[in-house]
Amino acid sequence: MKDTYIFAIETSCDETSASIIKNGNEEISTVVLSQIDIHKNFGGVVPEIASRNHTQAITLVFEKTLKKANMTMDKIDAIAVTYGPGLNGSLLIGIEAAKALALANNKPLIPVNHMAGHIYANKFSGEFKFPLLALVVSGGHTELIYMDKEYSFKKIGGTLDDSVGEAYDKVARVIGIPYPGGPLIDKMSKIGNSSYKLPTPKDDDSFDFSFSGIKSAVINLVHNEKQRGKEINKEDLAKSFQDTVVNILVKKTIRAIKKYNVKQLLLAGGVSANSGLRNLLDIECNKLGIELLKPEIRYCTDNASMIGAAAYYAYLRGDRADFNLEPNPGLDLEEGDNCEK
Amino acid sequence: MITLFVDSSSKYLKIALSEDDKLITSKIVNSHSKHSNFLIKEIIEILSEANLTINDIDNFIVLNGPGSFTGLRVGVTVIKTLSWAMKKKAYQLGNLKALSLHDNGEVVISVIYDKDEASYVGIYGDEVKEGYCTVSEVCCNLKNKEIVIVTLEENQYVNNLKAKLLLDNIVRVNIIENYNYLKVINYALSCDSVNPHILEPVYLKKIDAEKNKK
Repeated sequence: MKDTYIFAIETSCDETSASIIKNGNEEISTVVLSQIDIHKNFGGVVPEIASRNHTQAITLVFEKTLKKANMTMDKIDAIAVTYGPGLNGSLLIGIEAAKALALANNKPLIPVNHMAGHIYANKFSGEFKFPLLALVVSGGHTELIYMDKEYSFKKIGGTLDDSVGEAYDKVARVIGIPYPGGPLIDKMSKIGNSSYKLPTPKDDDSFDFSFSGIKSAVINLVHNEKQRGKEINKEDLAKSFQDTVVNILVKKTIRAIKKYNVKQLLLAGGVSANSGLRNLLDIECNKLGIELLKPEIRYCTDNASMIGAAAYYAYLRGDRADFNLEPNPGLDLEEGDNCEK
Repeated sequence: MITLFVDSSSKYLKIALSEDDKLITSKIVNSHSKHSNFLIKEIIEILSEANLTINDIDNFIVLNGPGSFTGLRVGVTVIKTLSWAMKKKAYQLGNLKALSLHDNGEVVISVIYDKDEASYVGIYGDEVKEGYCTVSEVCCNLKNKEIVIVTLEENQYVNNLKAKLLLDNIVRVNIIENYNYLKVINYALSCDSVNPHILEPVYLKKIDAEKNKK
């Protein structure tokens, strides 16, 4: 079979990224330009500024991606672009550039769901074995997804309020850790003890999660300690918080694995870089004798290589977008609109 | 030489095609600021009406602001990607400068309306100044001059500006309704082309996050 090369574009938040992926699992070249140092000055991602920086950098990122691969556009079979979920103004820049690139080179355009991309980042770790379960954890998502074949996503549970990533960021703010808080809490928890008692959130028989309560619990705890004139041990609080969150995530995931009798678990999304979550899943999956695929750390954060991996399967099943493609900031994984089917 | 001109700085999408010194065709699309649905399609359509394809374009011109932030980004991103991908010449020209080309005077003031109290203003006289200004910010240092104010449509900001300037100057207002595309295209082509990578919107107005930057 002829090799398929996809030029993928990802601009859903504050990373401007492009990548060339061969046959859905071989990375030829990837460029990721992170704006994190810019947004640090504002204590979080400012959508308008993210969009401005995407506009500035987009063609340079494209050029560098081609140069790194030592390729020209005529060897590319299709252009893929993230069209949601994400920030409207950020998605827009990738989409407009992708359309222009498709027009200039007369290539098909493939619309890709950002969360499908996170799941497909695992293609760089190993083959998928169906049926499988994916635990998708990020700044905007906490979901358990069942897949019985390629590019088929069935949500069996999800957060009812905050995502895991949001909970991390909010708790970071409460205990005075600078943006981005998640990775720092993970780091601090490595030297802390789980000495603070926090309530286990939504410890029930469902596969749904809730993380808004634990944030309030941390706020109350910090407040009470202050009133008693006690200093908070930030490392201990980080460890206590992380343990509580990771335990419930893993507990429900393991139960879903058993119930749905899957062959494999995939970990996906920005929070999949969390060491506590990776370690506990390793241990529990080992016990069960079930294979766990985790993305390499560099594929955990937003990047276009994962979009290229997902796009290959979207391409095979015939997903194509026309020049009407526009951002869909609240795009659901189960949604496949905007495609000519 | 075929030139494609794009202005997406307002809710109207303006596209024009020229060949040497002749305007082939132009169109104004009211896209209600949703340029992302329209720009590429309209480019393809205007080309096909002229029996041309994207490969026939030698020069790309984009007006790079000020105006609608998102609108500008759509135009700039599309033109910068097309000119880069097709290895064709790219030109950018400010909307205020483009307006100022439509009249002569000792001082030409172009206004792009934003709010009654403040708008985008370019002052072209002995000195050139462009910014987001209140009426009183424009009026300083303009005394005993012959002033022409150029704007696209009647607006309260221009009325206020005229009233204030009239105290010390002779003032005429020129409402042009639309760009003279050939004039703007010829002027843009007389400037140096730029590397597509550096095509960028000019916003002129600070956003709140920038004002409150830590």
